[in-house]
Amino acid sequence: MIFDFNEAWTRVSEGNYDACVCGAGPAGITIARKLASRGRKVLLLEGGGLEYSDQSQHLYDGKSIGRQYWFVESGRLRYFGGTSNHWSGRCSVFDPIDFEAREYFGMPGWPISYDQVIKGMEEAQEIVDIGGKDLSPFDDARFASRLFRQSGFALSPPTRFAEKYDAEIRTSERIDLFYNANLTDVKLTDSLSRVRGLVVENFNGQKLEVSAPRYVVALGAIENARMLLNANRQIPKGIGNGKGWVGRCFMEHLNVPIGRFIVTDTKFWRKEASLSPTVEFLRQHNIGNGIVTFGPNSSPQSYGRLRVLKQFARETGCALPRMAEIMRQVVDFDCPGDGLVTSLIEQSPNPDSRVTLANDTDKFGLRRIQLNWNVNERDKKTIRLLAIKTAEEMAKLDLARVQLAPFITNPSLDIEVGAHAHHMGTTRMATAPEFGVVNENCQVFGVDNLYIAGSSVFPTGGGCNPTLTIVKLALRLAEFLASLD
Amino acid sequence: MGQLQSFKSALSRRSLFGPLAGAAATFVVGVHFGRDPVVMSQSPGIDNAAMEFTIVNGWVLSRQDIAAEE
Repeated sequence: MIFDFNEAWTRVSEGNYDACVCGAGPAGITIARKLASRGRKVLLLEGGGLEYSDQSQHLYDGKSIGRQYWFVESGRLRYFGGTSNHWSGRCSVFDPIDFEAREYFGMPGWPISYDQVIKGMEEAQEIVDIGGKDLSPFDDARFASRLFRQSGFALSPPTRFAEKYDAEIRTSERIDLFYNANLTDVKLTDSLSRVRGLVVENFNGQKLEVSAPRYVVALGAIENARMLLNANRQIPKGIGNGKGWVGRCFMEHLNVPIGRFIVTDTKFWRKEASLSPTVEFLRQHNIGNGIVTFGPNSSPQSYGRLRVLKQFARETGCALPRMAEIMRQVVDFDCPGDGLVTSLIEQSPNPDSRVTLANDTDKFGLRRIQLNWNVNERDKKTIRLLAIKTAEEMAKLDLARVQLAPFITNPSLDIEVGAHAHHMGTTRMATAPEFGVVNENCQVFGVDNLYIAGSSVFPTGGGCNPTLTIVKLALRLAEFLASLD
Repeated sequence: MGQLQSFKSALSRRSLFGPLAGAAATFVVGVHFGRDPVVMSQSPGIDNAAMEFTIVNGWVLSRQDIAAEE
């Protein structure tokens, strides 16, 4: 059932819940549904409303104090369905090598195996409406490369979790969703080894403590860290932060405009080509994973009275690349056979790339975040190597010729690094608290009944879009929780 | 036809003007690769002892490209 916590806030005390899940995004909804399917009664708390509101969204406001980062607030959505409400829908999976101990990263990797994550992926695929799609890399006789392979992926419609599961939750007798229910504190028992209850507050200033045998925090990678750090009344450093790992190793997928290309084999270019490095290539060079995408432009069509003139300008410009450069400063046009080279590149886990608390507070008195996003020399090496080697491969196979951006070929220039709004790694999964925040079952070290869901638990980000893995790990966590009773 | 020839052909194919654009493209290619090029002979941070490619004004070209041009 679904309730507005602004109005029916006292009703939350009436339930006898087996688990309390905070955050109704892809991870939280998936866990709630899975637990319900196993006969558990779930309290699902969503801080935002059923629709977008500035009041809720601005609770995400924060500062970027490191490399320029645009997605502190806009990269996530704070209402029912969470960030799936503006998800692009691209689904791919980690590679086996992503789960190996890559010592050159200087940080431990995943404490679980590739098989543990990939096993049962079919259910996650059904949830995001890509059931039966093959996500594995594929061979193409026309792309006979030893260094790269073509990445596999599938496009979700994309699935909007609120839209898809609203009716199911609304009629469920095992899931109670309260929206406008903001988690504002986590209270531990006197021994500090268990959560006693969560403080939940509505937008009218009314609050109460809710309790359940187990708690899952699924607020997104930035907010998960923020909540643990703000819950510092009993433990000054914050919950789960005994070794100082909460908020550290914030990772993105690096979005670098690598350059442009012209087609030399028109038969090959019926669609874009997304290239990922082979295992041998990664091992040889000790770099991160990633995808370099070659996207041919489609030929634009002009309309109206100026059509002939525009067509003439385009054809002239396209025939003379230097003129094209000048003309592109005046009008926007593409040339047939041209294309852009873009990327999604793994960022290495870096303790200095981190979320911390700022001094200013939000409406609920919680300190806002400041993000020090930090791209290191290894990341730059990964970017340059993948860019140059994919360009070489295109020339070698005579499929295209690539012109790299100046910052790729000139190490003295700073690389234009953007992001994909993939927030990862602030409560990393590890074998021991010396290396992370949660164990292999996503339980916060030292707190028996507190679990974290979402991409904040990723120790590394791989070269793939994260949502499908978030859903898969949510299923895995729910199965684990269901097995405890 | 060498690889650079196909590269030039790709340029010329992009125009309705055919031969005129082909000539222009050839000229542009000459300017790009033959006159005062900025050549990067060593990729940054990479062991390129057996390098088969050269970067000229940002364009990544194979040795065959360069040989055909010369």
